[in-house]
Amino acid sequence: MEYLLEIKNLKTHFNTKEGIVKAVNGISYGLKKGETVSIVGESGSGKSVSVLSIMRLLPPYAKINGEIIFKGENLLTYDDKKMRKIRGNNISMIFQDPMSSLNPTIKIGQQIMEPLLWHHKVSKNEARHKTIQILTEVGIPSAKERFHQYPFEFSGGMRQRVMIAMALISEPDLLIADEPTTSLDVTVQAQILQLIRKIQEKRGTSVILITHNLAVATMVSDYIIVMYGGRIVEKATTEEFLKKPLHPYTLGLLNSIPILKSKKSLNTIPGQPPNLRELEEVGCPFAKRCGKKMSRCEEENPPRIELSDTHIVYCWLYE
Amino acid sequence: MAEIILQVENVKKYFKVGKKDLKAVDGVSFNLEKHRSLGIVGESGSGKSTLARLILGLIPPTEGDVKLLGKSVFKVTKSENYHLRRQVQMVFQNPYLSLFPHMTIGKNIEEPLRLHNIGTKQTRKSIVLNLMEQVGIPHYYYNSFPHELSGGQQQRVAIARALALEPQLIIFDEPVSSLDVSIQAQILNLLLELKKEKNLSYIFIAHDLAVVEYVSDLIAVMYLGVLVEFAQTEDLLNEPLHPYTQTLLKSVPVIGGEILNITISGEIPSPLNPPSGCPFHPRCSYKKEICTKEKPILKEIKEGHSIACHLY
Ligand SMILES: Nc1ncnc2c1ncn2[C@@H]1O[C@H](COP(=O)(O)OP(=O)(O)OP(=O)(O)O)[C@@H](O)[C@H]1O
Ligand SMILES: Nc1ncnc2c1ncn2[C@@H]1O[C@H](COP(=O)(O)OP(=O)(O)OP(=O)(O)O)[C@@H](O)[C@H]1O
Ligand SMILES: [Mg+2]
Ligand SMILES: [Mg+2]
Repeated sequence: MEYLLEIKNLKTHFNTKEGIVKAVNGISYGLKKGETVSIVGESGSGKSVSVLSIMRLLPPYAKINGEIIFKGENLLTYDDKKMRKIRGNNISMIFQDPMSSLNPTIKIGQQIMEPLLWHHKVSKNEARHKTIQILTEVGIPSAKERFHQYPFEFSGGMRQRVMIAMALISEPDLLIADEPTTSLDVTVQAQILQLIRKIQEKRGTSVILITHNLAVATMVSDYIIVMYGGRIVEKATTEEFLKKPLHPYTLGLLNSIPILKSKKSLNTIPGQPPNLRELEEVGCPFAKRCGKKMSRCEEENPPRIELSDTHIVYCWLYE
Repeated sequence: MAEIILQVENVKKYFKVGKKDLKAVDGVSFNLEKHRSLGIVGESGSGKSTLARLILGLIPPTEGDVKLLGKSVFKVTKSENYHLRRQVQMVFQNPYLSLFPHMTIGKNIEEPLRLHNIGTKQTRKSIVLNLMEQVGIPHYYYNSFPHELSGGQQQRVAIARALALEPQLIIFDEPVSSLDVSIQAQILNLLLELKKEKNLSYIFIAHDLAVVEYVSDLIAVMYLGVLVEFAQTEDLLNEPLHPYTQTLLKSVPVIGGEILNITISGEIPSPLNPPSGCPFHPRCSYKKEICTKEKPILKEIKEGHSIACHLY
């Protein structure tokens, strides 16, 4: 089957006064219709920037290179006007920070209806009806009354559900969800994940999920991508990821997870995350913190090791 | 008996929404002893952050009282308030929003000291460097700006700032939700250390039960503005009594697990239109006639284990 989305050698750098921030440094992956991929990894490893590059929602001083092929066309060749047609229509995004992505001065209902009115040209009445329905579906009680409220009158978790409603209302081909359930209690989290899956089954929506919760990642996705220092360090099907995680950073992450009633103390990964301004062009970004570092790790780029068609790790250990 | 640092006495907070009252916190009571840590879990919108703001005296209650070291946080004189402010601090979910973006890391941590006229410029600097060490931020970040630090480092700075005035109590409102698990582990270990070394008491609000378990001696479960269960961490996890707590525990995501078809049926209730009787009854599979009529009150049914449920 063809890819709905194919990212080829994506690099996103920010030209700031203090130097170039190399946020994303050559990542590639593909996503077919109906598939879900989860991206996990270090805070600051470029997860959000990589998807904001797809959406082209970055400031002008961001330089995006590579190819982003969506339905056969390279989105990087699109101008702003064409991108606006894609956003919120073919591709929707649920943002990490619900407060700053909701307009504080516009009523919730109005904000959710906006993409519908803007792209689909349904009647206002239909839009309102659909909005109340989707608000109820994402678990906002008293949706009819809440429709007329402002963002500050919602709790953090409820604002997040509003964001989810907003992203789903236009029934996109691709849903990008950046930490969509972090601020929700686990029962609602499970409901939202079910909801996303239901919509996915009904409409064949593909999903990119960014999450810090590895358990959630393994529960919902077909593939898992682990990022560190702007690069992909490991990519596998969820099954392969569960059976045979390989990269030392992946293993470090797995060891840092608290497990209910296990009474184990948590291991941390020693050292600090890399400074993206001082990131070397060559060498493994994780080398400085890696317990298994060899001399070549800092001198040469790690090789791309294919353990299967779908399991790829970038690490000298598995050469 | 251990000294009690915090007394929450039937505190309520109603917000006006249109003509209706939104009962964000609807009668919460508990005591916290010194040097203990309390985790608060509960669904989003159940009033956890509002309760935190009440405890800090940031918003006036509709009813009830909160006493910190025996003194009401709402009925204090200006000078007492000044003193009280030093005793309790808060750390928020988003470290970037809680730090001043145009101030260096050093100045950010120093700010509360300056506001309280503590020390001289020189001594304050050494206090700040000391705090940075405690939370594991290298000294060379002293002159950096918040945006140059990772989320986890920023959160450490926020914690250093909260520690600056040597408070007795810190409230953490989802402090690790946005951090990756390895940084989360660092912060959680840091909290355990601070608790041991500084005899700190804290309240830790979070959604991840495993995280809450790791750092809390006690756990309180909130639902629609009230406490539905309150117990020692071990008791609560090994023997959850309230049906909502049981559902919470069943819904915890596990590596390689399946998304549960959450058994919670019925609509999630709204604090604007709270159900009659027990707030959980529309979603409860054990509901009886009485549950739709009478609101259960929080009762201690075993030593140190209280629940609000008609089943017991
Ligand atoms: N507009 C910007 N200007 C300069 N640097 C930026 C900008 N946006 C992001 N960055 C930097 O790019 C890097 C990657 O950030 P990104 O937000 O993608 O991380 P992330 O993996 O999503 O982290 P988290 O898990 O904390 O959300 C970070 O070092 C960040 O500071
Ligand atoms: N200033 C306000 N005006 C009106 N309603 C408010 C205000 N602040 C909070 N609320 C409402 O009070 C209720 C409790 O909100 P609160 O933020 O305390 O919940 P929470 O338990 O912290 O939720 P979350 O887990 O999502 O952070 C929610 O229904 C919210 O919409
Ligand atoms: Mg991010
Ligand atoms: Mg909150």
